Amino acid sequence: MNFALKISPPFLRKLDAYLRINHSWIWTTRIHLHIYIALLLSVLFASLGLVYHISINDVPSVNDQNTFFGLLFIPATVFLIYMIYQMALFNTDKSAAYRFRYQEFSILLIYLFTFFLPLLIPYPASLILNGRISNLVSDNELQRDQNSFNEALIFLPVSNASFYYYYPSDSAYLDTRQSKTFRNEYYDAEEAVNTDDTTISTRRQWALLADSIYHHKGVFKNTRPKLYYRNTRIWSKNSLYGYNTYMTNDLTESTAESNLRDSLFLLYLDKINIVRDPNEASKHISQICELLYKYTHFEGGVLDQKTILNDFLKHSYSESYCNNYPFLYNKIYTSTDNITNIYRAKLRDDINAWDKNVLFVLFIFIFCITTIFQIYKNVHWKQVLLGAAILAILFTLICIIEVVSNFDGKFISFAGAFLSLLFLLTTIKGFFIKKFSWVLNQMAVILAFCLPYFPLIILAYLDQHHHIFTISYFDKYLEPFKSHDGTISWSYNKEYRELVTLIWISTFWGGILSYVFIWNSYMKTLFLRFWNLPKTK
Amino acid sequence: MTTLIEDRLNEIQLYLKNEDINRAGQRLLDITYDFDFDRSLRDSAIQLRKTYNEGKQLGRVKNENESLLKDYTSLLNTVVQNKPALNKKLSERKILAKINNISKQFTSSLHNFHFKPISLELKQGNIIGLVGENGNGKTTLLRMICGDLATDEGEIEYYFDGNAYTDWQFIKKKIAFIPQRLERWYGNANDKISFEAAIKGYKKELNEEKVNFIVHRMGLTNFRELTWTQLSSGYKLRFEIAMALVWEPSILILDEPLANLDIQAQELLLQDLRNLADSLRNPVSIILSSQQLHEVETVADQVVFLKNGSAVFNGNLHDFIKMETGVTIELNGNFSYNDLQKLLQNWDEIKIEQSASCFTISFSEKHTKEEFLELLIGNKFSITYFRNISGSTKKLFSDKY
Repeated sequence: MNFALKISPPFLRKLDAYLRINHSWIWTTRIHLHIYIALLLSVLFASLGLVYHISINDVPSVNDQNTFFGLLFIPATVFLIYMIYQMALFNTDKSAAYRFRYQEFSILLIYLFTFFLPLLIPYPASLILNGRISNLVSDNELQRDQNSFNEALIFLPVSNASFYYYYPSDSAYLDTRQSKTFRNEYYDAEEAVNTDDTTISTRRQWALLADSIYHHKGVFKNTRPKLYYRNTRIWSKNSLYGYNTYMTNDLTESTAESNLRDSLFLLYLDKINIVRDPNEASKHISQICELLYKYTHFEGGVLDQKTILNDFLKHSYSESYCNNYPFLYNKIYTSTDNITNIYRAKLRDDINAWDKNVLFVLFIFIFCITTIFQIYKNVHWKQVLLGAAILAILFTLICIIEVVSNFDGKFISFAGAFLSLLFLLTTIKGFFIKKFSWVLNQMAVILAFCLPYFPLIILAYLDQHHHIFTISYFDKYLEPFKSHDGTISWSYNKEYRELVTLIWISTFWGGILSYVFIWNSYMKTLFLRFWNLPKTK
Repeated sequence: MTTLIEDRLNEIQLYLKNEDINRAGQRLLDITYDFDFDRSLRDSAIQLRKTYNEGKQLGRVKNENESLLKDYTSLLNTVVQNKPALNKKLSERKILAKINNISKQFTSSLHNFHFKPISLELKQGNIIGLVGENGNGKTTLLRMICGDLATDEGEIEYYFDGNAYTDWQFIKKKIAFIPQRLERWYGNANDKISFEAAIKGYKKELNEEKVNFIVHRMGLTNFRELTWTQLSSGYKLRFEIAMALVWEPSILILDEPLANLDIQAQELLLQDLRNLADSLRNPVSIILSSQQLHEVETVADQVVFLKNGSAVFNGNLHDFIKMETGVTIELNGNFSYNDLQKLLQNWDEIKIEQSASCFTISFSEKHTKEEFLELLIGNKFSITYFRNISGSTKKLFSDKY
């Protein structure tokens, strides 16, 4: 670790010397130097997050952010490898006399923390970048812009099918239920490419409605309004932007509130689409032009708002003003992207909203690395590899037998429980032998791999073979269920399912904790004994 | 009759008289620890030793040497003045390990090797030299003694602190094994020794003192900041010994420690080993293997000569000299094998062997080495090398044995 010490401030060197002399078991973990390097890297990475170019016209997308995060993970992974290398170099457990036993519990926790460090390093940069994006526009301003954009987009007649579809006025009518109807030949031609269920269903509905086009009544009676097909991508809950709440939802409002507001918004759009009020249209066109100037690099001059308004009122989309500005289509996309990216950044700002499963998977990953390192620390590296290979072969064989014999998953749980128990009991012999036995040592290595999951394996065995979750104790969770034909059957209620899930989760964590508190020290003692025994060759 | 402390003090006085500051410094440092002098005296001895070692690197001028000599003389006087409080006596040398007829067999399709039964006793303060050609079982024996290799037959009993031990974990803490191929360590040498001392239990100021004592005592002052890659083979070995000594082992096992050392370094190391064995505080039992017979024989109390896996000789050199009646001479000069054969054809039990560097000539006790030498000179044989190895186990290398 000369490199780390060379770049260390004096206080860290003093700390290094202090730990080496007074708490050598901590010193060997190199945790103090790893924390220091991790901090340095975090600061360095964070500065990258600060200098990353962003502007309201060019907002990095979530993918961009993920790529940035991923790139930072490369040096973080290199750091992880460096740490493991350093920890292996300064590992004293390979020397017969220089072993720690009673500190094992603390060492395991330190290792867990150590392996977390490199994974945490890219986060400051990512959070800073996300924060900067999020702060480009205030929450209220973004909400206002979103609403303005949604309300106004319909007035910007870009004659591209991806945004709008224009239906000739003599082909579309409103029936008594204010549904849109179309001529058969029209949708046949346009929708033929879409074969999903929704389209098929829509086709059928439209085919039925096609017959009723002359029966329209109500508010639009005798007016034959020109209708415009709103492409749902712009504002729908299933928009291409991936966020259900995008564009219409407030950052803080509930789903029920947003649903209500969406439905009102749809009605509003329907209305302004049909009732073409020039004042209303003019106001919205002005709004969207401003938004396009704001959220994109608008180098194509000033938009001619009067022409756009006339186009809208005349329904002349095929010959519209916007057709003369092909870039407009891209500008709309860019601005919606930028708004979306800022919105997403604001959502990511809330750490509570992060997916907790990611943390769980991360923990399991770290725990596995720690377990492997703990084993490596106590035995020769070849024995670790051999242990992993044997474990893989055993698992493969068990799976093959399971599949070939069609044991319905029971063999896996049986073999897992049986072998774990067998190895656990056999390795006790290690405390009494006089010469090193590679068979027992290898068994101990495999056992150390399995021990954290031992309770889980046993529970799986009890579930599969003894149906532990259907014993009479659980009868109190049974509830009658009446089927369509009137027969009554009994099934477990929600509370039962929650209880069973809790038992599985508790068993899993119980296994992890039992390894941390009990098995880790037990295995250490066993490995210590193996290591000190005279070898046969 | 002089006491032990007086013997030691006389020894140091003699070194100072001969201006051998190195030895004087080493032994003075040893004495301050062996006889539990107070901290200030120990520190002074360390400081002087440090000054000497540092000066060696810089190239000391005579005036400085004189000044150092004065300082040492002054320190010695202080030690002498405090002598009454230091009346320590040499206690009985205890047996640390009994090796009873241990044997080992290696079987493979290409090579079979049988290490035949051997018995040994490792005593406090004793040095056992293990000699023999390559592949004769030296390392095998050392590995069995240090508990790295299990014996097929026989057993080794270990006695530390007067008690018998069978727990390998404890036994291995009492044995330091330094293999021929040293295991690499990381960081600088000083930190490594300090770390070893910390694990042993030397914390805070004690750690610093222990490290300083070992480093300066072993003449490593100027190399303590170096890393593994920066050290020469000889100093790597010295540091390895220093690290082992921090653990205060009862048994020190060295496999071919002289292999990479120059003549001067060999002598220095062997002298250090002798001093370690003679230590009062922790009289280590040392067993070392080597090809450097003459050097080993000078310090070893007991020599074991291994040939084809069996001990052809196991005892002290006095026994060997008594046992061997014939004369064996190593010789070289401007003469040929035929010249020697012609010259000695009438001698009894004459045997002449030629190696790459010299002739080895054995003859019966009826003739003496002086007679042999006169015969050579009388026949105008020009001699460039002559060595009487009659009392050395080196003669065991001969095919005769």
